[in-house]
Amino acid sequence: MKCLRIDLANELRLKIEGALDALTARDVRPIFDQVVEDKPKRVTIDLEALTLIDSSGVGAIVSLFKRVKADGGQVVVVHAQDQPLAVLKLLKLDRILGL
Amino acid sequence: MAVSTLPEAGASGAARVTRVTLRFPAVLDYRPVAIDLVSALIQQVERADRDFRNQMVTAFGEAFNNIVIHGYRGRPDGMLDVEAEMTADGMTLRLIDTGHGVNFNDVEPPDLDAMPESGMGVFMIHSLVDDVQYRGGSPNVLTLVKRTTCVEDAR
Repeated sequence: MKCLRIDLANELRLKIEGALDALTARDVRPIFDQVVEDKPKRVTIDLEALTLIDSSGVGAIVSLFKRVKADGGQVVVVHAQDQPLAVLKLLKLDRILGL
Repeated sequence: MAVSTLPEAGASGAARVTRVTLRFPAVLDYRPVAIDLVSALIQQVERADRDFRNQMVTAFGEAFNNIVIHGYRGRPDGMLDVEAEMTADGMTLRLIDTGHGVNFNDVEPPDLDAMPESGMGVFMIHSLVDDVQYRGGSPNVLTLVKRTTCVEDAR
């Protein structure tokens, strides 16, 4: 799993590649924690290259969503497909996350 | 890994069942290879489509997580045996462990409107496969059954 942070003028973009699951979610949490500390107005999570997600990975994204929102920011997910999209739909997160 | 391909017991026609047994150390480091192997075995299910593969792999992954994280909590030496049976139109996975029991049978569905950050795994398993059976004991046996849906099945 790779998580690339790109700071743009109008948003903070996170590109997650590979599998975000119980094994790798712990690696992404420090990156998400720093994002929360930076209090961005808008975070876009690009899942185009995400191949697999489980409930732990979803939990990490939901945690980021809630904490950024609590500071007045917005989190959206884009380009989810295949298994990750199906899991987000199953957990009724697709609309909340802007998919 | 052991593999056998046999005529399905009691089945008429040319129905065949392929049985494979796998054994993993019950640690999260083995999750990727376990997922990859189960995904490869789904290729033996002739009528499985992408949705079938995604759903079975997701359910198996959640079961793997629960057994490793909760069943074998504090037991890094645990092992997980997986018995897989594939036919043309379905798959059965039996996950066998000797850790603490995990409640796979009777779990309240999570309040999805509250956007929970955990406690979704068992709900996902039940949502994604056709049948879930769990027998706690020594060993614990979790059985996941998933069938393909096709025109013939609906008749």
